[in-house]
Amino acid sequence: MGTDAITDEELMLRIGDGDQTAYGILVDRHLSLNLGYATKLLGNDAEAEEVMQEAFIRVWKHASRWDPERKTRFTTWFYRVVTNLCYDVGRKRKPQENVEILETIASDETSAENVIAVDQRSKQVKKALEELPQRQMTAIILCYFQGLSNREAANVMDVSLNALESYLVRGRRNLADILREEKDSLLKEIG
Amino acid sequence: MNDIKLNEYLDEYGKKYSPEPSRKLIDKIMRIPHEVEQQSVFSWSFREWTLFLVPRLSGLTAACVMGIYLGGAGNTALAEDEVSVFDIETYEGEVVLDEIESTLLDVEDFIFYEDPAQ
Repeated sequence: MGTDAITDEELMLRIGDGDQTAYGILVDRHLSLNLGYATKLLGNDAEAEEVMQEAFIRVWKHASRWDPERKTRFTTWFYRVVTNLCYDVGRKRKPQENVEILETIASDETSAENVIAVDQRSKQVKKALEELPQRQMTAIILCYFQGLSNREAANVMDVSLNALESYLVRGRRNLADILREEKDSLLKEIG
Repeated sequence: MNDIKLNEYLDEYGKKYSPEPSRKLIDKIMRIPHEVEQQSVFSWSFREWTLFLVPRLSGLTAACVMGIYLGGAGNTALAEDEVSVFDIETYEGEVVLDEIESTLLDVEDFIFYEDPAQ
């Protein structure tokens, strides 16, 4: 039986018994995706890495208390852990503290000009996302970048489906407004 | 800004801000089982709680009952007013204490005893 056939919840039960191989499989499955999520929420890769370490410490420590009868999906629980840890980091930041801008990961196929343009736009989106209220930003990241369904995202955020959809609609509208304003001010500066 | 343009921007941002985990981070995370102790299982199952609590509560109840029984005034204990009652006999006009009286003496009563003959 391949490792793909084992569900995350079964792996958690094994981890609860001290199975380090099961832990390794779970890390392999979820680290990359959740690191991207934490990086987008925090806008800082060093903080995101710290969050991921803490999140996996919680997986290891609390696995023995994993209750399969609750029917909780591991993915939902883990997203919640990462989200709450990111919120904690955000709260601890000083208001004036600027987060480090991530370095551009350029594709070899794209031209230098295009890379600069993409880089510029991505920074604008990042800045605009950071201006959104926390819940709207989380909803957009979960549904748009992490590929979660609206219901899954609502479970992660512990809100109703209607509330999640409302966050998404308002978030996208606010994001578009912020980006439009930035574009207008840029055009004014040039013109 | 329309939805298509916004999606395009979001796609670009998503690709750019999706870092792969570094080797250092993976190593740190894989070391966690060697460095962190797992929490012991703490079950809330009714059966386990019953098995845990029943003998302890029984013991505590028995101890309380024993304490009340032994600590209270009963037939086996000598109450203060009972102590003073001891046998006094007169023998040839003289007051003598019952020598076999084994209870405690109420010394005060004994000292201030007034001889009715006087």
